[in-house]
Amino acid sequence: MKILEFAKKEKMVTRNFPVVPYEVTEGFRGKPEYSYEKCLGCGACAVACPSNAISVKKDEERGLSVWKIDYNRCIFCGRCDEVCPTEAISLSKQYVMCVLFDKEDLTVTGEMKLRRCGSCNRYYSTERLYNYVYNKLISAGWDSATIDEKAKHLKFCPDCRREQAINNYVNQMTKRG
Amino acid sequence: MEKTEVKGKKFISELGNLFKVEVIRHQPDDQITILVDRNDLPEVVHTLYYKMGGWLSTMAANDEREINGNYAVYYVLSMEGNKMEEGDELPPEEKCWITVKALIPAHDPVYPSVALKVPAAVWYEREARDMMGLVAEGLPDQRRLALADDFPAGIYPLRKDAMDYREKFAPYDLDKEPEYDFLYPEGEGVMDVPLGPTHITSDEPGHFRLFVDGETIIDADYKLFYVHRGIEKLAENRLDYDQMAFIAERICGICGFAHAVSCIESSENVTGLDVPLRARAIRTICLETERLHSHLLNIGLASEFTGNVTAFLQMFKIREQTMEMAQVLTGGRKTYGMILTGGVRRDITDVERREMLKYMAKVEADFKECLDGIIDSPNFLKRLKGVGVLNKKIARDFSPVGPNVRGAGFNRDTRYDHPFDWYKNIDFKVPVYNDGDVLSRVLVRAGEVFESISIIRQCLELLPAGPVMVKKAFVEPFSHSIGYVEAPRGEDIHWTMHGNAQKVHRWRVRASTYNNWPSLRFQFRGNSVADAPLIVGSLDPCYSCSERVTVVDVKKQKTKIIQMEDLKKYAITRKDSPLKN
Repeated sequence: MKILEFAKKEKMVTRNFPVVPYEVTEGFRGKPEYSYEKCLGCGACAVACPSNAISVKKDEERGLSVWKIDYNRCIFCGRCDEVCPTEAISLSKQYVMCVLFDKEDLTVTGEMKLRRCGSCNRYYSTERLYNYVYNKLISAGWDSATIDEKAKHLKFCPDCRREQAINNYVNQMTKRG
Repeated sequence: MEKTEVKGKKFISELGNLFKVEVIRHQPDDQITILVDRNDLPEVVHTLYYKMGGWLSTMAANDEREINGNYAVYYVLSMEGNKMEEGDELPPEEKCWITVKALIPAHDPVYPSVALKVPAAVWYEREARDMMGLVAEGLPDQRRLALADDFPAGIYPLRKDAMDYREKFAPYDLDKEPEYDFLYPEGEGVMDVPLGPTHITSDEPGHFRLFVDGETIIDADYKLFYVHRGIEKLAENRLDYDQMAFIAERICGICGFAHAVSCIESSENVTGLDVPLRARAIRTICLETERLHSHLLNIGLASEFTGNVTAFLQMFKIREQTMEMAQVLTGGRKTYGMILTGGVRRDITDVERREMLKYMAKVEADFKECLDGIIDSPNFLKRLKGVGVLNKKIARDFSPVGPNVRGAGFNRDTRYDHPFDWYKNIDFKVPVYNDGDVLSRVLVRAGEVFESISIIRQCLELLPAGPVMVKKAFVEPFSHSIGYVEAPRGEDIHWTMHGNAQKVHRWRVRASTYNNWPSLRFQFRGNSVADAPLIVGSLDPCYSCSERVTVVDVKKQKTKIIQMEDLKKYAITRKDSPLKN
C-alpha cells in the first residue's frame, strides 16, 4: 500500500495535451523550418542528411532546381542546420508535424531558377548561388579587375572549368617549352 | 597516445603450445586477432572459452573473396575469467578481447561446428549459414535462424555477389509458405502452446512455442527474426562513417545510443583515435541516461505483469523525468543524434548541468520511495521468486549478458571488464544477485538505477574541459575491430571490417538480447504457463511480442487461439485458465 501513498503525493501529472501544449526545453530539436528566401539551392543539406529526407533535383525542362524535404523521413538530427551557409534551414521547437491528417503538410518544396554554363550552355547551378558567391567576392573588398578575374570561373560548370584549367595549363607549358 | 603493452600475450603463447596459431593484429591494444586452421577452430575456441575463461561475445562471418579469395569466420571472445565463484576472474590488466579467425575456401564453404564444444555458438552458426552459406559441419540445429521460411534457397544475402538487387521477386503465395519446424518433445499428454508470433510495431517480435504438461512448461522453442531489416547489408559500401551512427541508432528503440556508440567506437578503435575526454564523459552520461529509462520501464513492466498497474504508472511518472533529462541533454526525448566519429555533436552548458543534477536528485528520491512500495508487496515477491531460474552452468555455456547473467551470480559487465569511454575514471559497483530468478533480475536493475544516477552525478561533477570533437582519421582498408558497450540489456558488440573508400565492408551487429535468447529455453522449463510472459519480459525484450496464443493439443490435433488479453489476465489473476475447455 506504500505505492498508493507515493502516488497520492503528487497531483495529476498527465497533461491535457492538445489543449495545453507540451512545453519543450531550450535547445529542443524539432521540425526543421525552411526559409525559401534564404535558400541558395546549394544542396549541402541534401548531402549531409543521413536519412535522405532532403533532396535537391534538377528539373531540366522548366529550368528549375527543386528543393524538397519529406518530414516522414526526417530524424531531427539537425545535420542540415549545421551545414547550411545561410541558415535557410534551422531546427525549430515545433513537434506537431501535420494538422488534421493532411499528408501535404509533411513535405515542403522550394523551386529556384537554374543558371546555364557560359560555355556548354547546360544547367549547372542556381542563379541564387551564383549571386551569393559573386556578392561574397565583392564584399571581400577587391578591386574590380580582381573580381572580374575571379568571377570568370563562376560562370562555367565544373566540367568546363576543368577543361579550361587543363587547356590553360597545356598552353602555358607549350609556350614555355 | 601512449603505447601500452599489448594485452593477452599470455593466452596466445599458451595457445601456441597446443595449436598452430598466427597472430595478425589489426586492432588497438586490448584486441588481438589470431588466425587458426579451420579444422582447429572448435578446439581453439573451446580452450579459450572453458580453460582460459573466455565468453563468446560475437561471431562474424565475412565474405573476403575480393581480398584473399576466401570466406572467413571470426569468433570474438571476451577474456574475463570463469567467474563461477567470487574472485574467480582475471586481473584487470589481463582482460582483453581475442578474435579467432579461420579462413574458409570459397570452393568448399564448410567448417567444423564450434557449437558442439561451445553451445553459445549455436545461433551464430545458424545465422552464418543463412546469411553467408557457410555450413558448420555437425551443427546440431540445422534450421534457419534469420531468414524467412519462404526465402528462396541458395541465395545468401550477405555475400557480396548475392543477387542483383534491382530484381523484384514475384509476390509469394501465402498458402504455400512452409511451416517452421519447431522442436517437438515426445511424451504423453504434452500440449503445445504457441505464444506469438508478432506485433508489427515491436522491435523484437517472436513466436514462442511452449510445450506444457498440464500447466507446467516442459520445454520451449521459439522463432524470431520476423522483422529482420537487413541493416547490415544496407550499410555495406554505401554509408559513410558520418551516416553510420544515425542508422545504428535505429537498430533499437530503447538502447539506440548504445548501438551508435558501439558502432562508432569500432571505427575509432581501429584508427586509435584519441577522442577528447569531455566527449567521452558526455557519451557516458548519455549511455547512463538511456540505462535509467530502460530499467525504469522494465521494473514498471515487471510490476504490471504481476497485476500492479499502479506501480507501473508510477514508474512511468519517474521515467518521464529521465526523458525530460534527455531532452535537456540532447534536444530530443531520446538520446539520439548525439554522436559522430571523433566525439559528440553537442556540448553541455553549465545551466544544463545544473538542471540535470536537479533531475537526478528528484529521480533518485522518487525511485527509492516507489521501489520500496513495489518490493514491499508480498504478492510481487511471491510471483517473482524462484521463477525462470537461469542455472549457473547453463549461463556459463551460453554466454548470456546484462541483468540476465548478473542476476545469476556472474559479475559480467562490459563497463567493469573492459572499461570504455569514461568508465575508467568512475567509481561504481556491479550489482550481482545469485538466485538467477526473475526477482534477481529486477533487483539487479533496481541496483543499477542507483548506480547510473551515481555515475551521471560523478560525470557531471568531474566533467573535464576541452573540445568535444576531433577530426576523424583515415581508416586503413580491410582493417577490422570491435566496438563494445554495455547497453541496458547487456553487452552490445559491433564488429566492423572497413572497406576501401572509407566505407564499411562488413558490419556485424550483435544486440544484447541475441546472446540471451538461446538460454531462455532452459529458463522456461518447470514454470507455469502464467509465468511465461514474465520470464520473457525479464530478459527485457519487447512485451508486445506475445500478442496472441494458439493452443495445440497434440493428441486431438485441435487448435485454439487465446488472445493476449486473456493470457495477460490469467497471468495477473491466475484464475480461469484459458487452457481449460
